[in-house]
Amino acid sequence: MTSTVTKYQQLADSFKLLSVFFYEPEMHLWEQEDILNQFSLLLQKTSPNAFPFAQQMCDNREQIGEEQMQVDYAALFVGPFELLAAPYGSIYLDMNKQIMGDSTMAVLQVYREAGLKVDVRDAPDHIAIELEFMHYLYSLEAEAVLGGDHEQETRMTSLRTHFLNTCLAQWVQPFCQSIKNGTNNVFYVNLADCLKAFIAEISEADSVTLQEHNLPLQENADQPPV
Amino acid sequence: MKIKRRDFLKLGAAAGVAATIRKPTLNAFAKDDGGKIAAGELPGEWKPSTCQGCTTWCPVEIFVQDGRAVKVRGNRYSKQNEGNVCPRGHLSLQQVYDPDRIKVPMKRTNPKKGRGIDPKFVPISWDEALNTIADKMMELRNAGEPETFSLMRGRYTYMRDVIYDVMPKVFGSPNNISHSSTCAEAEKFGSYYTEGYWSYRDYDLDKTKYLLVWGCDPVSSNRMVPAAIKRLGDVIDRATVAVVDPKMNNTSAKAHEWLPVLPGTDGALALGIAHVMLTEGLWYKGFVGDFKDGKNRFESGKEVEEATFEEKESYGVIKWWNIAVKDMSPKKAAELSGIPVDQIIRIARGLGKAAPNVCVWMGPGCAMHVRGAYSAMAVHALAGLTGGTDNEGGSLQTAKIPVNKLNKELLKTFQDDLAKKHSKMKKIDQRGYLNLPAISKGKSGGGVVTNNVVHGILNKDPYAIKMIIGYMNNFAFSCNGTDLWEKALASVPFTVHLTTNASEFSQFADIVLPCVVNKYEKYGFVKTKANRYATCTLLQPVIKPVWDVITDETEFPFLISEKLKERGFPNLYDALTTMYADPETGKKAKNAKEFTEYTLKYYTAPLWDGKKDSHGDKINGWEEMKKRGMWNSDPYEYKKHWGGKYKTKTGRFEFYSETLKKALGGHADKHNVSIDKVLEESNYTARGELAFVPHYEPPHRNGDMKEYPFVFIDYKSRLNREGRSQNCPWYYEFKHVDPGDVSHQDSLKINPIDAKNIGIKDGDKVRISSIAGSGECVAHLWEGIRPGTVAKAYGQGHWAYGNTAAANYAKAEERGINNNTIIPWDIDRLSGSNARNGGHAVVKIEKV
Repeated sequence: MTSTVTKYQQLADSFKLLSVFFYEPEMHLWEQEDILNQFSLLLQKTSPNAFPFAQQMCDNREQIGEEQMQVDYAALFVGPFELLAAPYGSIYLDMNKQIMGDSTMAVLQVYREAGLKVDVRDAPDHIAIELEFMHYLYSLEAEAVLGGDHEQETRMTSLRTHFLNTCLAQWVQPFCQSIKNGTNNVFYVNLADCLKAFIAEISEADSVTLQEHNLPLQENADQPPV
Repeated sequence: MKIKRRDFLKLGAAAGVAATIRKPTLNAFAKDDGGKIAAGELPGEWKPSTCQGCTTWCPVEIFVQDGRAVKVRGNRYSKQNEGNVCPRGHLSLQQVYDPDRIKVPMKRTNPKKGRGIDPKFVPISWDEALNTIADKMMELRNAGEPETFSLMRGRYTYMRDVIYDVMPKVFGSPNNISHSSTCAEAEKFGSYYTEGYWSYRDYDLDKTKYLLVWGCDPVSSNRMVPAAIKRLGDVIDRATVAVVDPKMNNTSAKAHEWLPVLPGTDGALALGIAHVMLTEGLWYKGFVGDFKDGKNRFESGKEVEEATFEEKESYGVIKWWNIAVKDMSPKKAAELSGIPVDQIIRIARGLGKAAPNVCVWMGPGCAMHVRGAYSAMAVHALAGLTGGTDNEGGSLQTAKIPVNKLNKELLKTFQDDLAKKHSKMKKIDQRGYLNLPAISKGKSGGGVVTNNVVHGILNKDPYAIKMIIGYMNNFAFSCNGTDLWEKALASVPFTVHLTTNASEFSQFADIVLPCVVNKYEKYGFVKTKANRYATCTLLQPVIKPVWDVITDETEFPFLISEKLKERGFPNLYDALTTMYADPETGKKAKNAKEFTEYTLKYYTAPLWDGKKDSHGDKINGWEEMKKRGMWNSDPYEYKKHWGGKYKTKTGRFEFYSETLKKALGGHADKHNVSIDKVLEESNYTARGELAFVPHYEPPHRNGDMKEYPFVFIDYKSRLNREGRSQNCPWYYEFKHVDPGDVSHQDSLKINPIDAKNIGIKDGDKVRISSIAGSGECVAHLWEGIRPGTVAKAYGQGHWAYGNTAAANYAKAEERGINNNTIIPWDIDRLSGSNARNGGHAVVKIEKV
């Protein structure tokens, strides 16, 4: 039981720190909390396939200045002109590359079922929020195991698998590819590889099928420009 | 997004420590106890707001379910659109949920400015953004040069007063620059200098017997779109419909007559029609009057004695005939305009037969030329000749909307000496200079010359501009001569852009601020009209914005006023809180959101406070006003200005414009020159008395037609939400709703005869070039375009506006080509309008 609890807690922490990397890079905070080293150590245990990329994130971070990190982060995930790697699930899962699509509403529904509502000013299927949700579910799962609450454990496992299967795992691969296509920043390139490998490993463990490409045929939005 | 809870960064016990209970730490979530209802099962609600996708400004309702806007329809109470919207109404859903919207305040970190140069924007807090802006503003005031600050306005509501008037005037700048002359000021010139009405007309389609549409497409644009869509079929059954446009549009595709006029010769065609109506005695005598003895003396080429004619509601018809019409026989008009003689005669006779129930629907296509002011007058003169002006079945003015106005006297009390003096300095658009009369409403320099701001900035004339705040504008895309705008904006030291999407204008900004999408997230109000009803309609936030955005026109000035107050300049804060106290309680606003609602209440109070008869819908209080979302006037009374009540110098409909004579004279006197000199400097050919009557001016072409053999026509797509819908995928999917256009293309329409001559096939990628610029688009061979002309819809060609709109932002590559890059910089100097019609752009087409 202890190993299961520890595993779930480590996975919860891994998801949490992955989530942190998709917020604005506040390097002083990362350094104060030793986030990168902790992340690397965690992934060594939770995801051997993702671990090398986490190590690279650690090793390369200091090569990039704080302002450059902010500029590259903004270009990838914020804008203002266009999102090189839109961090929203609906962009990959619904027609026409919009936020607040039907898939977003489905995500909201899962949050509700878990007793949560989004408390930040962004779309509910932002990658950071979805990763945090996985952190939440794993945390509760660990708590349930530790407390011997099998019903709760089963519910959390079911919710987590459902969420991973129908939401996160369905778009994280093309999202990571967008990051790699959109930047030369080695931190974010490694983050993309790390996230991709991590989700792949988790999914495999949970028998979740990863989606390699955007789900719908986005023929209307993807015509070659003239 | 920023991490908002520091403890989120902390991990639990280190690995290897015995497992203990650890509660999850949350950053983006809060506990929700009401989460039992499944998505899509909430009942939803229709909430009222206003669509500003075009200038119809439709009262609408938006269906909101589970916090998400999903559908749009017209407001159920609207007598303007009767519950309908056009395609634009639906398209806006893809604007509010556009992932490329600006999400947080951002600042430039690369000081070098230019197209294709990465500004390297990074997120900043609202506090940092507002502090930086306030510091820059205070620098200008402390240096005693507040006039170097400019506020540039694009799409607005009538809450504009706060940001556009109060803020710059209290600060001390004269440079509040609107976009109005980009739209249709030359069109207003036509109606003002004939019937004294500086505004867009309403059209009584329900009663008309003849609809003459000139230079526009009422079912796709020009201010009463849903009403026109609903009625056009009935009008075609009941009346005659004729459309003057070099390019076949939606209306002309269904009309009885299509007159593909040679671009820029509208004045000749209008005068040719007038010539026939007068020589054949077809004018409406109940309005224009008649010869005293009833004998028609209008003979082609012959002058008429004024004393033989007695006018009723009009003034100067004989002078007009003698000066401009008598020699414009249908034969000559045909030679100039390319419209056959028999068609000119047929139209004139049709108008005469249907008079006075004639709508002459004058659009920008016949007005926004380099020499378009007189074309607009000539076309609108037909409304006078047929007696259709201000009459049943004709073109109408508007019923009054009794909202409160900006209290200008109170405003003045908050101006200090610096503000009083500097806010009266010359403006950066150079309006009122000798070569820029811009005689809006009869006043020299009375109107804005938006497109000339580039010359003011580049030449530092009358002085340098050091700071710009622009809101919902994109002059580097929407004004012809985009190359000049790029240079001018790159030269300004500090620019702030308040907008929904970072655009070509934002490329030159130092700070971009995320703003509301007006239809879904904003408080405001606008005034509009159609079907004889004037309408006041509210914009209301029907959804909670996904991102932390602000209302440009009210929240921003309030927030800045707080920052200026902190820096020792409380005047703006005092002005805003005093001028816009809650009209019900007298309370002053304590924050920006409260201020916004108080401001809206202040302006609209006469419509719902029950103190006076509003002469329209009876609305019981503010809550009911918000719930209905709009107010309708009583129907407009026909002939309200007949009987000498037109607001012209003579009180009559002027075929010989004493009003214009006075205005031109005033401008000439100001510069101590003759009126002829004014016209010469303004690029017009008229001299002497011709300057005071609607007449034909030879079209001005920018470029040698030997090198650039085609005349270029710009028109508006029925999917254009101004220039802002090009990041919506539906725009491309449904583009074929514009006649002659192909989905997923930026289609250049070429007549098959011309295409054959230059070896172009349908679907060929082509390069279109003018003296101003060039770009690539796709040739579409189409008989609906007059030979010798080519046409393309305005809208595509963004190099910055989001993933869908631009081909490659990093390389500044456009998707298609912006018409305003092809159309050289030019203006109509009499009205101040951007010149985007009349075919002043001539082009060559080459296969790529």
